[in-house]
Amino acid sequence: MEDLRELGEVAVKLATDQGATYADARVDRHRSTLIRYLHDTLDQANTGVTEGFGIRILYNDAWGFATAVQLEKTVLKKAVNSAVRAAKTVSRYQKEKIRLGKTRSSRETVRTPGHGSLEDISLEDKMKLCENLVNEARSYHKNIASANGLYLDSIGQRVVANTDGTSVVMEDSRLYYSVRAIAREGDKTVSTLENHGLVGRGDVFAKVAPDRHARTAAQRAIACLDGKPCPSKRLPVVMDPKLSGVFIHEAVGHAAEADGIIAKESILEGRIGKKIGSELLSAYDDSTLHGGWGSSKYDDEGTLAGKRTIVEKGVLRGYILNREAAAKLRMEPNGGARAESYAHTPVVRMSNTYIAPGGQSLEELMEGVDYGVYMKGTRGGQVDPSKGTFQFNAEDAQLIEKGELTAVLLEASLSGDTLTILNTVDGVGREVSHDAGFCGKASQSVAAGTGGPHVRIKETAVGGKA
Amino acid sequence: MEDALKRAVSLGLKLGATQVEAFASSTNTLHLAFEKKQVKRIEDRSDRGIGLRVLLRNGASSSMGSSFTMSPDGEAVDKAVRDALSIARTKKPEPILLSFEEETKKPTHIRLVDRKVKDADERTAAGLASRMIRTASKDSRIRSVSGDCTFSHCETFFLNSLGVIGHYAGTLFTATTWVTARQSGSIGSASDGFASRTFQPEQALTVSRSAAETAISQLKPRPVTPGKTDIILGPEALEALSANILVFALRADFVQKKQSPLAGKVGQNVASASISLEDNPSLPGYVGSKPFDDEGHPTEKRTVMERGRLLVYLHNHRTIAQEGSDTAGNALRVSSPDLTRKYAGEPQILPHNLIVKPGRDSLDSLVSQVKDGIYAKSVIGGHTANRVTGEFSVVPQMAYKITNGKIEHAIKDTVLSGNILDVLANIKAVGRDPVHIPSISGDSSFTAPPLLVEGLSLSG
Repeated sequence: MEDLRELGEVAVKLATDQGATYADARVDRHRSTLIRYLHDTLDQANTGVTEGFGIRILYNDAWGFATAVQLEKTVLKKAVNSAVRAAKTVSRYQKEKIRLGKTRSSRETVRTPGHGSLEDISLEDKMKLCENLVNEARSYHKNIASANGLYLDSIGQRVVANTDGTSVVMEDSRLYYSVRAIAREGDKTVSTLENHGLVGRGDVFAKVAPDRHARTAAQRAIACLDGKPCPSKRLPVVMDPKLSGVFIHEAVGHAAEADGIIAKESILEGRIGKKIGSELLSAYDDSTLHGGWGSSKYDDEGTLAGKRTIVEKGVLRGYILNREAAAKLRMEPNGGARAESYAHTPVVRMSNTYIAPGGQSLEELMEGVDYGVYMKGTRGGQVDPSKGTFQFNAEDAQLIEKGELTAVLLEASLSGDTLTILNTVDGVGREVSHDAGFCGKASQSVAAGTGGPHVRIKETAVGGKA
Repeated sequence: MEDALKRAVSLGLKLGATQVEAFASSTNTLHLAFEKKQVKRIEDRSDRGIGLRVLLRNGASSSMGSSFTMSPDGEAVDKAVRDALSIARTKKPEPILLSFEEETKKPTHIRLVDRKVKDADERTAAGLASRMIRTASKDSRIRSVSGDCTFSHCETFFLNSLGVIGHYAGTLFTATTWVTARQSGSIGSASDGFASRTFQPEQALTVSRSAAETAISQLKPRPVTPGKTDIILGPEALEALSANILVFALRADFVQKKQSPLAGKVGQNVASASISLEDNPSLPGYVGSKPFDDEGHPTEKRTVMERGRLLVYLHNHRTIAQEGSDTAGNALRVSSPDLTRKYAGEPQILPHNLIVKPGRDSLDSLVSQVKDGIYAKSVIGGHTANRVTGEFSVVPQMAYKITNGKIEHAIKDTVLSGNILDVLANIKAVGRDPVHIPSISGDSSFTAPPLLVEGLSLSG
């Protein structure tokens, strides 16, 4: 088995031999395991190794990219030739030359903290975790009609090498699990999801808590059986930490990704230093967050990744940058380039995006609401960064009446316009929690952490059917 | 690849598997991305891999294990076989008699390769992209044009221990344009795309033109009054609801586990009588057309819904074994949009080409039937829908206000909520011009004309 670091370094050397002015290579080898329970059946159990090599080059200041799936030096040259040929063609058509921001070169092997390996955890134990998720949820209450469980893990290495002398080997080891509890009473069916992701080596497996997550999912599903349709109108909203994390990810994070800025497809273009939201709002994107689901010491261009202040007391302070956007915007690269795998070109992505804590307790936030909605959990969201339109769904919700939580509500969603809603944040809680998720962009999916405290919005469009 | 599959099957049986199934795909893709009205980069990607499943049977019980490898080398294949067996042996056997495909009859040949796609080179891609950019950029209000075009060629190989063997190749051409327009501080954005097994540059230009026109028409949007309203859902909006709710509702595995809003409804009217739905895997040019599914079962056309009446669910071998029926053929390994990575996941139940039968009304005719409503070309947030209940809340995109049968202006700040069963039941009219859209997997598609739906809920 060829050494991955050596392959990366040989590849970038081959690229410069062919006339490339810059090249970066990503070499991956990962083993992944997926186990899925559908109701009472272990529906899927699959494992395999993904490995390959991708090289991106600048030739005549134009990009070319090519991949190969054989991790052998003999195959690299063909891929490099393809990338050069691609770049030569692009250079004949493009009007603007590509420039890259300068970064410091690094040579390091970054290990995932911890002991042991997830590969040493037996298949039986992983299946048992998934089975526990389902059984614990189903046994919670007679009205839990069904439950689905999912377990995923990924263990491996990625090498990033470039012609600036960077050569970093990054271990990646993580697991993720989720449980969906489905409750039924008569004609009424509701479902809720709990999920959890952990970054770590074999010892992280001891930190899983399938029973607790399954019970929580079941408990919420049973509560939802008494739920009524969420009102559809403009209302004050208090978001729980899970939802406030997704809110900042969708409403601000994507628009702060600088590839969209330089493509003139972001509502945040040209707004650095300008007030875009409430003074109570500060938000960060932090690749250095200890144990963060989206954390990584280096990005996939080999740049040392950092903590980026996106919003500070309502003022837009920065973007998430790759080297190209940094050069274009005359800023310092801050390590925001990520690629789903060797087969993808790095694009600007979030890592761990969260709202900073404020000073209010949950009770204080609720007290300020005469009639509104408390939204909890999330089924994800989506955004159009060019217009600043976003949407996301809560897993479940409750009515707030005179500061107290009352009726359970179903199918609550929240949508709006970024620059409007950020200015309506009028309360921020004290305690931040972080969650694991996956973010899709440019046909790539990456692990993205989201987080925040409870956040109150003075008024926004709440979607439902009532 | 064939040797690797034979090796896998042989070793699996030798090590004690009752049956073995080996699947492989090998894909080459040329992808061009353009941004800010210029060609940005070209990507030359190759991908290949083998997906294995092994079956252990003990009396009336079965246990299945699955694995994949990206290398056809002997050592890697052997490891994958052992991994799959290890999973099968670790799993508790299920009280069900599973079997892999047994039908050895040769499936119908369908022409799926267009040499113009297979042999497309960087200059072809760059030339087309330049024309797409120029087409979309004509109006001075167009601020930004981005997009991509993809040329993929994929070979699929199949072999199982019951003597089923198959091979086919297919091409995929896609072209998409995203446009942002700006005028007096207002921003309008739009996208449009095209996909086919064949190279159709004029269609690529058509979608570029359409995206630009739509972006301009989206300038100066205004809010709408909330309430129950009539809505024309465009093909892209319908694809979002289909991919995230309807397809799952039609899957026999979700039905059998009582997790589908259509469970127990075969033979019942579940939609307006104006709706008929079929899955047709033999249509020339359609991205989901193929001779056999990813369990090796020959594909065949299936009428899923006729005049509103649900006729069948979509099945794979497991769900057939559960029900004792004989209508398999909808097992697909989900690929990336460019047909890569098919080998990595286990087969799931998916349609090949799910088609809403077109009606007679032009879009203008549908609009003329709406006194007070909206027309939404697409939506965002479809993936947040609740698959179990069919409930959704989405934000209409590229959407317009209709008053007294005429499109008035672009709209903003509204949420569309509902349930898929209500959408199906309240379809008032079916348009006549279907649009073909890849959906969920690179080799699965959804085709529909616009539909006029009564009484959906708008909030804002």
